[in-house]
Amino acid sequence: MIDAIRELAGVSGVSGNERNISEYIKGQILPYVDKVYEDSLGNLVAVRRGEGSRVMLMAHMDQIGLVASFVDDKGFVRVAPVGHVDPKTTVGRPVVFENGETGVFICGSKEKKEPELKDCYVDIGAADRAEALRRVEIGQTASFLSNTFETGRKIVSGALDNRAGCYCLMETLRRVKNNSCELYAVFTVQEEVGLRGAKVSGFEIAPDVAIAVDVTLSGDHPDARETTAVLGGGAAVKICDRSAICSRGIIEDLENLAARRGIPVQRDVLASGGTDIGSVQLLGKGVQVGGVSIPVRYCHSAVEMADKNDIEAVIGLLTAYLEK
Amino acid sequence: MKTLQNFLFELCGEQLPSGFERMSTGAKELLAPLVDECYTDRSGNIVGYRRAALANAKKVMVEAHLDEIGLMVTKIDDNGFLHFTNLAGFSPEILPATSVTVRGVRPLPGVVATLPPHLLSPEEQKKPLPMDKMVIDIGYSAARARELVRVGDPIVLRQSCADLLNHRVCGKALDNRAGVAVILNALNDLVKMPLPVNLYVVFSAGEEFNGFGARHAAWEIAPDEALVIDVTHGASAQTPKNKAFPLGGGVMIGVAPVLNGEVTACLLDLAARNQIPYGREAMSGRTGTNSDGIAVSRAGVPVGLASIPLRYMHSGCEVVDLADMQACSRLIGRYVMQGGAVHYE
Amino acid sequence: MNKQLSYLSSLFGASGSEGDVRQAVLNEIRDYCTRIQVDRLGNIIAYKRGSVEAPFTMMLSAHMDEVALMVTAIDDDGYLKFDTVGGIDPRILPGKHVVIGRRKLHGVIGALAPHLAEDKEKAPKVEDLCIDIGARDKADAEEHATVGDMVGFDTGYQEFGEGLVRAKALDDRAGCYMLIEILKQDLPFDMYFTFTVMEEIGCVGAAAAAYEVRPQYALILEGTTAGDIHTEKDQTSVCRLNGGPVLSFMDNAAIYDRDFYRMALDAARGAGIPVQIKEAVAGGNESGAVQQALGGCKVLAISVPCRYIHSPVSVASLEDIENGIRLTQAILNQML
Repeated sequence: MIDAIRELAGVSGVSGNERNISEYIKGQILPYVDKVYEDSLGNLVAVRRGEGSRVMLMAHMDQIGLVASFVDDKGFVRVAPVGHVDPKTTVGRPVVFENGETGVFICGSKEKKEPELKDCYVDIGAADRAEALRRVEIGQTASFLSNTFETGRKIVSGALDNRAGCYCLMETLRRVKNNSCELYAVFTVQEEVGLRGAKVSGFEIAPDVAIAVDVTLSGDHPDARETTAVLGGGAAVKICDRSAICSRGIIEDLENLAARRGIPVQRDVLASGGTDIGSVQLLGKGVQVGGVSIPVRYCHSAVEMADKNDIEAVIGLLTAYLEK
Repeated sequence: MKTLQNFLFELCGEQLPSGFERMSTGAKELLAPLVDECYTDRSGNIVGYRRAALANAKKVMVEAHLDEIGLMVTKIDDNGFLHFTNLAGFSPEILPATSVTVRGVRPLPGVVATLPPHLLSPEEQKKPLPMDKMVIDIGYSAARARELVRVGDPIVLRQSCADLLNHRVCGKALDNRAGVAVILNALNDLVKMPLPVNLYVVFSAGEEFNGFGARHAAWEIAPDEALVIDVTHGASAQTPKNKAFPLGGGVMIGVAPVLNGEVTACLLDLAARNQIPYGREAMSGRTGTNSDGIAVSRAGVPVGLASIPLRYMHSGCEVVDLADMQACSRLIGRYVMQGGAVHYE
Repeated sequence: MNKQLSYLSSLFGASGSEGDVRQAVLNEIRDYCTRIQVDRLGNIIAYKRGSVEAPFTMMLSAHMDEVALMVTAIDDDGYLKFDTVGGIDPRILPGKHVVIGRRKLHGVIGALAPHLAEDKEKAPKVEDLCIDIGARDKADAEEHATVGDMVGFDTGYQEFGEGLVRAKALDDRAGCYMLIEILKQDLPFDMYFTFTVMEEIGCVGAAAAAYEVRPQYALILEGTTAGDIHTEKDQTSVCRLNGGPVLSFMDNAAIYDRDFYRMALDAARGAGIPVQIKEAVAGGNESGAVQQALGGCKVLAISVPCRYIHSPVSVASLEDIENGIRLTQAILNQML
């Protein structure tokens, strides 16, 4: 598991520029699906034929990052955030641009109490504007670099949101034997900038059921805002968050399955945040929506932490759901 | 025959937070006898359909949201108190010392717990309490509470309706049962008349959350035009003048860029010609109601908005004037019998 | 003088009240289109055959509406209270001349004499401002104005300086003008032209137009903010006048299709058309709504740099506008 997640976390895929991660995932899942294609926005759609209702499982493959917007006279690359970048947890992190150029993300000065995004830049060590522009093009994205490692039963990485979800969906595709439904496994784009990929994919596929596979916040560490789902508590079955209220039928199906198969689950009521089902829920004549999440501490930082048992539980629950 | 007030008071007795509209029994029972067909759709909307007297008549959708503001249980602590978060529409200010109903295995009465002033410093009393510092007391031990309540159970205000002076009434969830009630009342008046349009009545789900119900219904029904019935701010001691409207001033007809000019003009004209008391509510962009979502359904739907002034929105003491509701009900009736507003070739 | 642009910018077309602009556009393009319709929201959807049948559905779009004000109440003394339609900084409003309603009644937004201002540090809020139409009292005002009336800025069109133009509503009548000019020429392939409504209140029209057209590719022609008012170039400049039309890689509404964006840059270079990249992630336009409508499409925005956008008077370069037309044509020619 750790090796697979490390590999996934090592492939770049800042929102709007997911080609690398998409190619990687495509290569991994090809043997386990009947058809794979990309839609107009770049969502990677894998189809497993089957009888019965249309089930769409979504894991977003994009990650937060930066985009070069301007280079000043001294050669510092001014950047804008792509997705929700919290300067407090990202300042000082090394970054890598699409073309391999590296630099460090700097935000505000020491004198200021709170770093602000409007003051932030990437220092690539360029002597002047001309050198910087030779090395980095305006509009290029940069992703944060991080290490992926294990500590105890936990996995730590800067890209668990949502490469852990991608891993769960890929593993589910590998493990599921006889799906009792027409399965669309979608690795979505542009989730971090407003659930955009899921919106067009959900419309195009028009599923009966849509389930998001994502991370959820775990507030079980000191000074955290308490949450209903916590690390080690099992797969988090979404009840609601700020983007969607889950369908009662899906919640019951997932919980009943978990009880029968002995898969640990916990309920997830989130007072903030959203997932891909938020935009799918609003589409067309209506879709039954649900969410299965991996609890993660320190979300959107370099050291997102998840429990391996929870990840196993998510894969087990999704597999059971597809085979039911 | 049921009066407007009967409709309203029966509807307000239901506990229907956003996403839990399927718990409704009353609204459907009230609607069914007034329409040809009645069903609950996959989103939890209650839809009623009345066939037009003529073939090839257009489809008109009249919509009011059925859901109300709600909370959700996030934890049952070791003393049996319930911790909660906002599900839809609640702000923390109205919560301290409020009675609520927790929709556990059965409806359970509860109270939002507060510390008495004796135990608080003057400083603490000045600050509003955040929601995550409040708990609900349902009077049970932790063990028993955990049998009755689960994380994810919804909570609504617990308050019955009452009469005030001058045909004004108060209670919880008048936003937007007042709208549902006026549609029922209008249907009641039309029950024996042949209709010039195919009429779809939608009591929609999820408006206080993100409006998913009305969007699904508009997509599925694909109406030629739509009329949305909701509440708007009623003038009270604290409200700004151009954003709140006097109770008793009649139905407020929305004028806004997102609303269709023809439908709006038709509503204004109908009210003026039929001596229905009304006012104009100008909104300079979108309206914050389901009309925003319905307007962009498919290739666009011409939509109008009629609202009932309501004081103290999103609290347990919302106040409306039955005369304004009556005006709104009459306007709906005239609008439907005229065959809507927009005429295509 | 550019009569067409002058005429288009002089028309009043607040969001939801685009009737005059729609009529003007229809009159202008009717004879050139293969097919034309006005949809239920008021969008113009025009289709024109080109030299060959397109293997994909192409949509070119510009919005007809402009930022404006709306009367929300009439107070006891006969002043009109108002709200903004679309994003307007209230600090620019005091002292401006406006026209109200279908009858184009003249009015002014009152400005407090500086002698009387108590707190000069405080910026005015919209709630503090009102329009004076010279009414004696409420009843008098109600004879001439109604709650819900649209209020437009009373700004004339003027060409000035070195090839610049100052006018109201260049966002997005400049786009409408470009679209009309492109439509009048021979096209390399079949395509749709949409003139949309209600962009300034959240891209309401574009989503419905996209539903009707179902494009696979879309080009949005827009005015974008130019911040080149400082001598030194910094990240608030965004883009500059006379630098050519602007291509964006990302804004708050959309991340533009990477391949489409690169192709446009190549097309510009190939045809020798000056082009600049928007050096900021700011603002947003219909691209987001069109890109994410239905099953999605590949989208690109071509913007005219515009100073003082969303104000009673904006400034643009006529050359940038003409180059915007040329760039759009160059991109279309590359697409087959």
